[in-house]
Amino acid sequence: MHARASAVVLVFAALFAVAWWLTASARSAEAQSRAYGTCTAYDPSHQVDGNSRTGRGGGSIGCEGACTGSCQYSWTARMYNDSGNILAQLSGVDTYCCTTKLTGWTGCAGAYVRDFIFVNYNGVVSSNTESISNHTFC
Amino acid sequence: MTKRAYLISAACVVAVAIFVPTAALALAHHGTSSGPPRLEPTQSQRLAHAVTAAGSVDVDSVPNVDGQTCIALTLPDSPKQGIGNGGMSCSAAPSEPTAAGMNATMSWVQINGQNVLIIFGQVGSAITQVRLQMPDGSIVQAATSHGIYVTRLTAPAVGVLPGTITATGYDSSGQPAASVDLQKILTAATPPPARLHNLRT
Repeated sequence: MHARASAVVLVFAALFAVAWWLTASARSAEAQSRAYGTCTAYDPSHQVDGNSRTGRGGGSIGCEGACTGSCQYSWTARMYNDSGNILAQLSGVDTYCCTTKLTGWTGCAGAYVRDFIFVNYNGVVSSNTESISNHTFC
Repeated sequence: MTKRAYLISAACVVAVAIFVPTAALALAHHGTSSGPPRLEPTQSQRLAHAVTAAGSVDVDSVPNVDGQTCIALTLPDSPKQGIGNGGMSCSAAPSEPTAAGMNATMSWVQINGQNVLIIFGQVGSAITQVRLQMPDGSIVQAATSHGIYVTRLTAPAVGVLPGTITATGYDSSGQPAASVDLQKILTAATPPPARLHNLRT
Protein backbone atom coordinates (compact mmCIF):
# COMPACT_ATOMS: atom_id res chain seq x y z
CA MET A 1 0.00 0.00 0.00
CA HIS A 2 2.85 2.33 0.80
CA ALA A 3 4.32 1.75 -2.68
CA ARG A 4 0.98 2.57 -4.32
CA ALA A 5 0.62 5.71 -2.23
CA SER A 6 4.14 6.75 -3.17
CA ALA A 7 3.34 6.24 -6.84
CA VAL A 8 0.27 8.40 -6.52
CA VAL A 9 2.32 11.10 -4.84
CA LEU A 10 4.90 10.89 -7.61
CA VAL A 11 2.21 11.28 -10.26
CA PHE A 12 0.84 14.26 -8.39
CA ALA A 13 4.30 15.79 -8.15
CA ALA A 14 4.87 15.28 -11.87
CA LEU A 15 1.57 16.90 -12.76
CA PHE A 16 2.31 19.79 -10.45
CA ALA A 17 5.73 20.24 -12.06
CA VAL A 18 4.19 20.29 -15.54
CA ALA A 19 1.60 22.85 -14.47
CA TRP A 20 4.28 24.97 -12.82
CA TRP A 21 6.47 24.78 -15.92
CA LEU A 22 3.58 25.82 -18.17
CA THR A 23 2.79 28.77 -15.92
CA ALA A 24 6.44 29.81 -15.68
CA SER A 25 6.81 29.60 -19.45
CA ALA A 26 3.80 31.81 -19.94
CA ARG A 27 5.18 34.38 -17.52
CA SER A 28 8.55 34.28 -19.21
CA ALA A 29 6.97 34.80 -22.63
CA GLU A 30 4.97 37.73 -21.28
CA ALA A 31 8.06 39.26 -19.71
CA GLN A 32 9.93 38.96 -22.99
CA SER A 33 7.05 40.47 -24.95
CA ARG A 34 7.12 43.55 -22.74
CA ALA A 35 10.31 44.49 -24.45
CA TYR A 36 8.48 44.37 -27.78
CA GLY A 37 5.33 46.05 -26.57
CA THR A 38 3.15 44.58 -29.26
CA CYS A 39 -0.56 45.30 -29.47
CA THR A 40 -3.08 42.89 -30.92
CA ALA A 41 -6.57 43.38 -32.31
CA TYR A 42 -8.92 40.54 -31.49
CA ASP A 43 -12.52 39.48 -30.93
CA PRO A 44 -14.16 41.36 -33.81
CA SER A 45 -17.89 41.01 -33.36
CA HIS A 46 -21.09 42.83 -34.13
CA GLN A 47 -24.66 43.13 -32.97
CA VAL A 48 -27.80 43.75 -34.97
CA ASP A 49 -31.08 45.11 -33.63
CA GLY A 50 -33.94 43.90 -35.78
CA ASN A 51 -36.40 46.46 -34.46
CA SER A 52 -34.43 49.57 -35.35
CA ARG A 53 -32.61 47.88 -38.28
CA THR A 54 -29.35 49.09 -36.86
CA GLY A 55 -26.12 47.40 -35.91
CA ARG A 56 -22.82 48.07 -34.30
CA GLY A 57 -19.39 46.54 -34.51
CA GLY A 58 -16.60 46.25 -32.06
CA GLY A 59 -13.60 44.40 -30.83
CA SER A 60 -10.79 44.44 -28.34
CA ILE A 61 -7.20 45.55 -28.28
CA GLY A 62 -4.68 43.86 -26.06
CA CYS A 63 -1.09 44.93 -25.54
CA GLU A 64 1.56 42.58 -24.19
CA GLY A 65 3.30 43.81 -21.08
CA ALA A 66 2.76 46.83 -18.91
CA CYS A 67 2.72 50.27 -20.42
CA THR A 68 5.77 52.25 -19.39
CA GLY A 69 6.71 55.50 -21.04
CA SER A 70 4.99 56.32 -24.29
CA CYS A 71 2.45 53.66 -25.17
CA GLN A 72 0.45 55.55 -27.71
CA TYR A 73 -1.34 53.38 -30.23
CA SER A 74 -3.86 54.06 -33.00
CA TRP A 75 -6.87 51.88 -33.67
CA THR A 76 -10.06 51.45 -35.66
CA ALA A 77 -13.21 49.36 -35.22
CA ARG A 78 -15.56 49.03 -38.19
CA MET A 79 -18.82 47.46 -39.10
CA TYR A 80 -19.19 46.95 -42.83
CA ASN A 81 -21.39 45.10 -45.27
CA ASP A 82 -20.44 42.20 -47.50
CA SER A 83 -19.66 44.60 -50.36
CA GLY A 84 -16.95 46.19 -48.22
CA ASN A 85 -18.81 49.43 -47.57
CA ILE A 86 -18.13 50.85 -44.12
CA LEU A 87 -21.33 51.46 -42.20
CA ALA A 88 -19.87 52.59 -38.89
CA GLN A 89 -16.39 53.37 -37.71
CA LEU A 90 -14.68 54.34 -34.49
CA SER A 91 -11.03 55.45 -34.77
CA GLY A 92 -8.61 57.12 -32.47
CA VAL A 93 -5.44 57.17 -30.50
CA ASP A 94 -5.09 55.87 -26.96
CA THR A 95 -2.51 55.41 -24.27
CA TYR A 96 -4.10 52.80 -22.02
CA CYS A 97 -4.46 49.14 -22.95
CA CYS A 98 -6.35 46.80 -22.92
CA THR A 99 -9.57 48.23 -24.24
CA THR A 100 -12.85 47.27 -25.83
CA LYS A 101 -14.13 49.40 -28.68
CA LEU A 102 -17.69 49.61 -29.95
CA THR A 103 -18.86 51.66 -32.89
CA GLY A 104 -22.11 53.54 -32.62
CA TRP A 105 -25.35 51.94 -33.74
CA THR A 106 -25.79 52.65 -37.42
CA GLY A 107 -28.44 52.09 -40.05
CA CYS A 108 -27.83 48.78 -41.84
CA ALA A 109 -31.23 47.69 -43.17
CA GLY A 110 -30.93 45.08 -45.90
CA ALA A 111 -27.22 44.43 -45.46
CA TYR A 112 -25.23 41.47 -44.27
CA VAL A 113 -22.79 42.91 -41.77
CA ARG A 114 -19.64 41.91 -39.95
CA ASP A 115 -16.77 43.56 -38.18
CA PHE A 116 -13.13 44.54 -38.42
CA ILE A 117 -10.69 45.68 -35.75
CA PHE A 118 -7.24 47.18 -36.38
CA VAL A 119 -4.42 48.50 -34.22
CA ASN A 120 -1.18 50.26 -35.13
CA TYR A 121 1.48 50.40 -32.45
CA ASN A 122 4.68 52.12 -33.52
CA GLY A 123 4.12 51.00 -37.10
CA VAL A 124 3.45 47.37 -36.20
CA VAL A 125 -0.11 46.62 -37.18
CA SER A 126 -2.53 43.91 -36.18
CA SER A 127 -5.98 43.38 -37.61
CA ASN A 128 -8.75 40.89 -37.22
CA THR A 129 -11.75 40.45 -39.49
CA GLU A 130 -14.88 38.67 -38.42
CA SER A 131 -15.47 35.56 -40.49
CA ILE A 132 -18.01 35.88 -43.27
CA SER A 133 -19.77 32.89 -41.75
CA ASN A 134 -20.59 35.16 -38.82
CA HIS A 135 -22.21 37.85 -40.93
CA THR A 136 -25.75 38.80 -39.95
CA PHE A 137 -28.62 40.14 -41.98
CA CYS A 138 -29.75 43.48 -40.72
CA MET B 1 -6.42 0.49 -0.98
CA THR B 2 -6.10 2.19 2.40
CA LYS B 3 -8.07 5.21 3.43
CA ARG B 4 -4.85 7.20 3.20
CA ALA B 5 -4.29 6.18 -0.40
CA TYR B 6 -7.86 7.16 -1.26
CA LEU B 7 -7.29 10.57 0.31
CA ILE B 8 -4.08 11.06 -1.61
CA SER B 9 -5.78 10.06 -4.86
CA ALA B 10 -8.61 12.48 -4.19
CA ALA B 11 -6.08 15.24 -3.47
CA CYS B 12 -4.38 14.51 -6.79
CA VAL B 13 -7.66 14.76 -8.68
CA VAL B 14 -8.44 18.08 -7.02
CA ALA B 15 -4.92 19.37 -7.67
CA VAL B 16 -5.06 18.42 -11.34
CA ALA B 17 -8.51 19.98 -11.66
CA ILE B 18 -7.13 23.23 -10.28
CA PHE B 19 -3.63 23.49 -11.72
CA VAL B 20 -4.11 22.30 -15.28
CA PRO B 21 -6.87 24.81 -16.10
CA THR B 22 -4.83 27.49 -14.35
CA ALA B 23 -1.83 26.73 -16.51
CA ALA B 24 -3.97 26.64 -19.62
CA LEU B 25 -5.40 30.03 -18.74
CA ALA B 26 -1.91 31.37 -18.17
CA LEU B 27 -0.97 30.33 -21.66
CA ALA B 28 -4.01 31.94 -23.19
CA HIS B 29 -3.92 35.50 -24.43
CA HIS B 30 -4.33 37.72 -21.41
CA GLY B 31 -7.05 40.30 -21.31
CA THR B 32 -9.35 38.48 -23.65
CA SER B 33 -13.05 38.82 -23.14
CA SER B 34 -16.01 38.40 -25.36
CA GLY B 35 -19.33 40.08 -25.76
CA PRO B 36 -20.22 43.72 -25.54
CA PRO B 37 -19.60 45.55 -22.26
CA ARG B 38 -22.58 45.36 -19.92
CA LEU B 39 -23.05 48.91 -18.73
CA GLU B 40 -24.40 50.12 -15.43
CA PRO B 41 -26.12 53.27 -16.73
CA THR B 42 -27.53 54.26 -13.35
CA GLN B 43 -23.96 55.06 -12.27
CA SER B 44 -23.09 57.16 -15.31
CA GLN B 45 -21.51 60.58 -15.01
CA ARG B 46 -22.05 63.29 -17.61
CA LEU B 47 -18.69 64.59 -18.84
CA ALA B 48 -19.65 66.83 -21.71
CA HIS B 49 -22.64 67.84 -23.79
CA ALA B 50 -22.48 69.52 -27.18
CA VAL B 51 -25.21 71.10 -29.26
CA THR B 52 -24.22 71.93 -32.82
CA ALA B 53 -25.90 72.66 -36.13
CA ALA B 54 -25.50 68.95 -36.94
CA GLY B 55 -27.24 67.83 -33.75
CA SER B 56 -26.31 67.11 -30.19
CA VAL B 57 -24.17 64.53 -28.43
CA ASP B 58 -23.46 63.57 -24.84
CA VAL B 59 -20.29 62.07 -23.42
CA ASP B 60 -20.68 60.00 -20.27
CA SER B 61 -18.42 57.95 -18.09
CA VAL B 62 -20.19 54.68 -17.35
CA PRO B 63 -18.92 51.71 -15.35
CA ASN B 64 -19.59 48.23 -16.61
CA VAL B 65 -20.12 45.05 -14.65
CA ASP B 66 -16.56 43.91 -15.39
CA GLY B 67 -15.12 46.80 -13.39
CA GLN B 68 -14.11 48.79 -16.43
CA THR B 69 -14.95 52.39 -17.19
CA CYS B 70 -16.57 53.17 -20.52
CA ILE B 71 -16.53 56.53 -22.23
CA ALA B 72 -19.85 56.48 -24.03
CA LEU B 73 -21.23 58.74 -26.74
CA THR B 74 -24.98 59.16 -26.88
CA LEU B 75 -26.93 60.58 -29.81
CA PRO B 76 -30.54 61.53 -28.99
CA ASP B 77 -31.70 61.16 -32.60
CA SER B 78 -30.35 57.65 -33.17
CA PRO B 79 -32.99 55.05 -34.06
CA LYS B 80 -31.33 52.79 -31.48
CA GLN B 81 -31.90 54.51 -28.17
CA GLY B 82 -29.62 54.06 -25.20
CA ILE B 83 -26.46 55.30 -23.62
CA GLY B 84 -23.43 54.66 -25.82
CA ASN B 85 -25.44 54.47 -29.04
CA GLY B 86 -22.87 56.75 -30.67
CA GLY B 87 -19.94 54.47 -29.79
CA MET B 88 -17.89 53.70 -26.73
CA SER B 89 -14.49 52.74 -25.46
CA CYS B 90 -14.02 50.69 -22.30
CA SER B 91 -10.90 49.96 -20.29
CA ALA B 92 -9.78 49.25 -16.75
CA ALA B 93 -8.37 52.77 -16.51
CA PRO B 94 -9.30 55.86 -18.47
CA SER B 95 -7.11 56.75 -21.38
CA GLU B 96 -5.03 59.85 -20.88
CA PRO B 97 -4.06 62.65 -23.20
CA THR B 98 -1.08 61.67 -25.29
CA ALA B 99 2.29 63.34 -25.02
CA ALA B 100 0.84 66.07 -27.24
CA GLY B 101 -1.47 67.05 -24.34
CA MET B 102 -4.67 65.86 -25.97
CA ASN B 103 -5.94 62.91 -27.94
CA ALA B 104 -8.82 62.36 -30.33
CA THR B 105 -11.40 59.76 -31.17
CA MET B 106 -13.71 59.91 -34.17
CA SER B 107 -17.01 58.07 -34.45
CA TRP B 108 -19.01 57.78 -37.66
CA VAL B 109 -22.55 56.44 -37.88
CA GLN B 110 -25.38 56.75 -40.35
CA ILE B 111 -28.60 58.24 -39.02
CA ASN B 112 -31.53 58.72 -41.38
CA GLY B 113 -29.18 58.69 -44.36
CA GLN B 114 -26.83 61.27 -42.85
CA ASN B 115 -23.20 60.52 -42.11
CA VAL B 116 -22.72 61.72 -38.56
CA LEU B 117 -19.22 62.37 -37.26
CA ILE B 118 -18.50 62.79 -33.57
CA ILE B 119 -15.08 64.10 -32.59
CA PHE B 120 -14.06 63.89 -28.97
CA GLY B 121 -11.03 63.36 -26.83
CA GLN B 122 -9.24 63.83 -23.54
CA VAL B 123 -7.26 66.96 -22.74
CA GLY B 124 -4.77 67.82 -20.03
CA SER B 125 -5.93 69.74 -16.99
CA ALA B 126 -4.36 72.98 -18.27
CA ILE B 127 -6.66 73.02 -21.29
CA THR B 128 -9.96 74.77 -20.73
CA GLN B 129 -11.29 75.04 -24.25
CA VAL B 130 -10.84 73.30 -27.59
CA ARG B 131 -11.44 74.72 -31.04
CA LEU B 132 -11.45 72.86 -34.33
CA GLN B 133 -10.16 74.54 -37.44
CA MET B 134 -12.29 73.26 -40.31
CA PRO B 135 -11.19 72.75 -43.93
CA ASP B 136 -12.94 75.95 -45.02
CA GLY B 137 -11.08 77.96 -42.38
CA SER B 138 -14.00 78.26 -40.05
CA ILE B 139 -13.64 77.56 -36.35
CA VAL B 140 -15.87 75.17 -34.43
CA GLN B 141 -15.91 75.56 -30.67
CA ALA B 142 -16.06 72.14 -29.03
CA ALA B 143 -17.86 71.62 -25.74
CA THR B 144 -15.14 71.13 -23.14
CA SER B 145 -15.60 69.97 -19.56
CA HIS B 146 -14.26 67.34 -17.16
CA GLY B 147 -11.15 66.97 -19.32
CA ILE B 148 -13.23 65.99 -22.36
CA TYR B 149 -13.99 67.87 -25.53
CA VAL B 150 -16.66 66.89 -28.03
CA THR B 151 -18.43 68.17 -31.09
CA ARG B 152 -20.74 66.79 -33.75
CA LEU B 153 -20.37 67.32 -37.49
CA THR B 154 -21.53 65.81 -40.75
CA ALA B 155 -19.11 63.81 -42.88
CA PRO B 156 -18.96 63.05 -46.61
CA ALA B 157 -18.82 59.32 -45.88
CA VAL B 158 -18.28 56.95 -42.99
CA GLY B 159 -14.60 56.80 -42.17
CA VAL B 160 -13.85 60.01 -44.07
CA LEU B 161 -13.18 63.46 -42.64
CA PRO B 162 -14.63 66.48 -44.43
CA GLY B 163 -11.04 67.66 -44.94
CA THR B 164 -8.09 68.62 -42.81
CA ILE B 165 -9.25 69.35 -39.28
CA THR B 166 -6.94 70.51 -36.52
CA ALA B 167 -8.12 70.42 -32.92
CA THR B 168 -6.32 72.91 -30.70
CA GLY B 169 -6.55 73.09 -26.94
CA TYR B 170 -6.21 76.46 -25.19
CA ASP B 171 -5.32 77.19 -21.60
CA SER B 172 -7.17 79.60 -19.32
CA SER B 173 -5.19 82.55 -20.65
CA GLY B 174 -6.26 81.75 -24.19
CA GLN B 175 -2.90 80.48 -25.30
CA PRO B 176 -2.70 77.33 -27.45
CA ALA B 177 -1.39 74.49 -25.31
CA ALA B 178 -1.77 71.45 -27.55
CA SER B 179 -3.09 70.45 -30.95
CA VAL B 180 -3.77 67.33 -32.97
CA ASP B 181 -4.17 66.81 -36.71
CA LEU B 182 -7.19 64.54 -37.04
CA GLN B 183 -6.26 63.36 -40.52
CA LYS B 184 -2.88 62.20 -39.24
CA ILE B 185 -4.56 60.30 -36.43
CA LEU B 186 -7.03 58.76 -38.85
CA THR B 187 -4.29 57.74 -41.27
CA ALA B 188 -2.33 56.02 -38.51
CA ALA B 189 -5.48 54.40 -37.15
CA THR B 190 -6.73 52.85 -40.38
CA PRO B 191 -5.32 50.04 -42.49
CA PRO B 192 -3.72 50.68 -45.87
CA PRO B 193 -6.00 50.37 -48.92
CA ALA B 194 -4.64 46.91 -49.79
CA ARG B 195 -5.84 45.57 -46.48
CA LEU B 196 -9.19 47.21 -47.05
CA HIS B 197 -9.42 45.55 -50.44
CA ASN B 198 -8.91 42.19 -48.80
CA LEU B 199 -12.08 42.74 -46.80
CA ARG B 200 -14.12 42.50 -49.98
CA THR B 201 -12.92 39.03 -50.87
